[in-house]
Amino acid sequence: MNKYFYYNYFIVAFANLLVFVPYVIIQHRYNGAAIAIGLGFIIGTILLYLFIRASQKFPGKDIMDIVEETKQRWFFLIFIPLKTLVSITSSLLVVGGYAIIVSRYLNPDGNLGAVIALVLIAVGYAATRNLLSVAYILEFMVVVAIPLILFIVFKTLMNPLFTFDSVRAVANHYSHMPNLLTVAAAAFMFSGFGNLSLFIEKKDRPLKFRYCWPAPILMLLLLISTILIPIGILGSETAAEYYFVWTVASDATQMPFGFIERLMFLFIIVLLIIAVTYTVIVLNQVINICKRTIMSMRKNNSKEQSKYMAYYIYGILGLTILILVIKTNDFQLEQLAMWYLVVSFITEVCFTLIFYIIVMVKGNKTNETKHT
Amino acid sequence: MLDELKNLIVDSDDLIQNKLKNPTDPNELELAYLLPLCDLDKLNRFITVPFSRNSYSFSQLLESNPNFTKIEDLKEGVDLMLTGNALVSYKQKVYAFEAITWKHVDSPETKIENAIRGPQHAISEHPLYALNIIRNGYASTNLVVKKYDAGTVSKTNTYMLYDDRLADINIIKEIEKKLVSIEEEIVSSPIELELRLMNSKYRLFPNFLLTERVDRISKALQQGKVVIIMKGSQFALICNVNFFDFMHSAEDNYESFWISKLLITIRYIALLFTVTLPGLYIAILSYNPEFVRLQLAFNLVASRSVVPYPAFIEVFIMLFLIEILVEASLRVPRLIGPASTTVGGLILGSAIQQAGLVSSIMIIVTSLVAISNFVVPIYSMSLAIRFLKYPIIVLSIFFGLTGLFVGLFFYIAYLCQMRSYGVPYFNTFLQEKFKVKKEKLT
Repeated sequence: MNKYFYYNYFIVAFANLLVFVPYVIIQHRYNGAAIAIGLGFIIGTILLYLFIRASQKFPGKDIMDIVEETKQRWFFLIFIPLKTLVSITSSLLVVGGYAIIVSRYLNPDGNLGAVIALVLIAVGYAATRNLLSVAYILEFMVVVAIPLILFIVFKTLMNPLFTFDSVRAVANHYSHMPNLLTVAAAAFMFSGFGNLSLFIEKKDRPLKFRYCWPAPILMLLLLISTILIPIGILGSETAAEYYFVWTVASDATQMPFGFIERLMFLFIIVLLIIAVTYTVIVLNQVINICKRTIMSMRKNNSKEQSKYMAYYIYGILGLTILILVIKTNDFQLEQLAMWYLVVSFITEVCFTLIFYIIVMVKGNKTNETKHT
Repeated sequence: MLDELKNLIVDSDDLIQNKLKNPTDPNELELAYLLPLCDLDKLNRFITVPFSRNSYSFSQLLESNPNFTKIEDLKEGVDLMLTGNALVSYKQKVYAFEAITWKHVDSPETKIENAIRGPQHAISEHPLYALNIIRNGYASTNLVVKKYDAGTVSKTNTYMLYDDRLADINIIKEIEKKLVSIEEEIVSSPIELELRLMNSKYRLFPNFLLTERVDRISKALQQGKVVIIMKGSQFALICNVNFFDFMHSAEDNYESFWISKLLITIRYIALLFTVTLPGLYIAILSYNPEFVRLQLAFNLVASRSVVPYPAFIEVFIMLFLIEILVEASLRVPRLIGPASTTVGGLILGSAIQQAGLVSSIMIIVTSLVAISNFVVPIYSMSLAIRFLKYPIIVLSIFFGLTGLFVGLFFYIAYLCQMRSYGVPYFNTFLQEKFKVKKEKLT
């Protein structure tokens, strides 16, 4: 189902604001941001292509099935835990980022722990549903979010404070070589296909690259505006001084005719939609993987037990995230985000390449045996 | 004829097929008609009685009476049957006999789902009259009517209707299983049946659509849904519905495209208002007055300046007031209904604001919430939505704007996981068309 591919891809890309992607790239605006964006786009598109090609060999199966079928136990043992861990970290970052924004801009004297607990309860309810329900939630949320995001981008672009001079000042440094972190940050925008692994299981129509190529291009445009609009509004120097540069950039924008005058509030609402939906998608995937692993290890699984297993798994996950978010401060979260971006980038590249090679080799073999 | 008929029209409990014999006549008479559509009295007078008396040669009667038309092709005969003709086969010749009755006039007017330009009559409490109206509105050879008795003591006649070609066999089987297994002693209304058929007691949203309109029933049948009607009730139960059916008024079918789309959009905006406004009021006033533009924030705070307690108490007072007003105007006898609304709405509303117990903006919010709630076309959904604002209010009290939006997200997640007989309840864009069923009922 190509529709769900787009939703997934978009929601991951939208979540970039919460995992410090604009922060990282704007930090390196004079040394390699432009090339990093280009590299990220190219790497992301190639990986997407390889992933789609590989998954086409096994129509109607999700990633766990494919890995099981290829019978590469080491692959299973290394990458599935790694990917799960990376996913959990990303949801931790997203919830933590949202918590910081709420405590700074929306609710400074509220009880942060309670707010995060509430968000996590709602996320838990949604993430423990079955895959189809999660797909519907994703669909609804993305469809609600996209017009709002377009509106925010449009509004900030039309901001009279927006100066192209600072954009040009940054753009002049296009020829510098980037470091790994910047490329990894840029590539995060295009890593939405990694989340797909469960959604490919929609049987009727396998994913085709023919229908998917506009997604990276759209997200490239979004990434460029994500980086350049704050620079244009805040200036090339000031933009680097904020962790969540977009909240400040949107707060510098006024909606003179609306009930809501400050664009920032609209932005925070959109951010909540994105944060919650992203966490639901990622944690649902983690829960499913854990559930299947536990089920395959145990011999006798009653239906009743498997029903409650999702709740147990989520209980552990949710509590961990809650405690970690309350215990970390902005600085630790930023450090974690740096590590996360690099590790997830390397994992994604290795995983997709090895996955592609294994599937191509194995897939050809199974096809040959079928023919003979 | 009867054997041939089996291929042309689907077997249904209201399709009557008789073979009549008379000892003085060597020929058999075959008679087929749809029970709800035909006037039995007329059939007796013109077919059954003359045939059994046999005082006048029956074949001559068929030829001489202009009410009988000879049918060459049985397909044509089936079409005539759907419009209230009885088919008579005598000596290998088939005749159609017009015996249609119209029960529209006997049925009551719609009381709850009014449409300005649509049909004005509801289905009847008499099940055969109701079937007559439905059969007239949905004259298809594929319409199946199945009869059950609900309640061990009351033995209430219950009819399940569906289009054999369009409806999903699994849904039919599941509903059938539940209808047969009802163990209550007395079942007197489809609402009771609705509660029995439900899987979970603690459902937030209605899983069935209770309607009194014929056009809605025909539309539902055409969409492959299952309809249940019951003796003694002018409401039909439409099974396997989704959320958007509840927001669709029968009136929408009779308006032009843009107007109906506008009306539907307005309905959804009203839905958003009625659910979020009280929560928003609390969240803005207690947590983020800067959320709205400055002048509006001043207005809000100024109108509240005389109110001695926090915003949420104000909200609770006003919502309680409006709920009891709505309840009172429903329960009170019709004649004093207007008096209660005048006392409640006008006198209490303005006085409570002048007394400084609630702010004037809160009165606007409350009435907007109540009016927006009435916009929802189906009563059961309107009730469900009336409930939705309270959890949101509680969340707003404790968590402000975040609580409000998390609450909304929770509702969306809840709707997304709901299924009505396996059919997704809240699939925004994935309107799965019911596929033409290959498996036939055995």
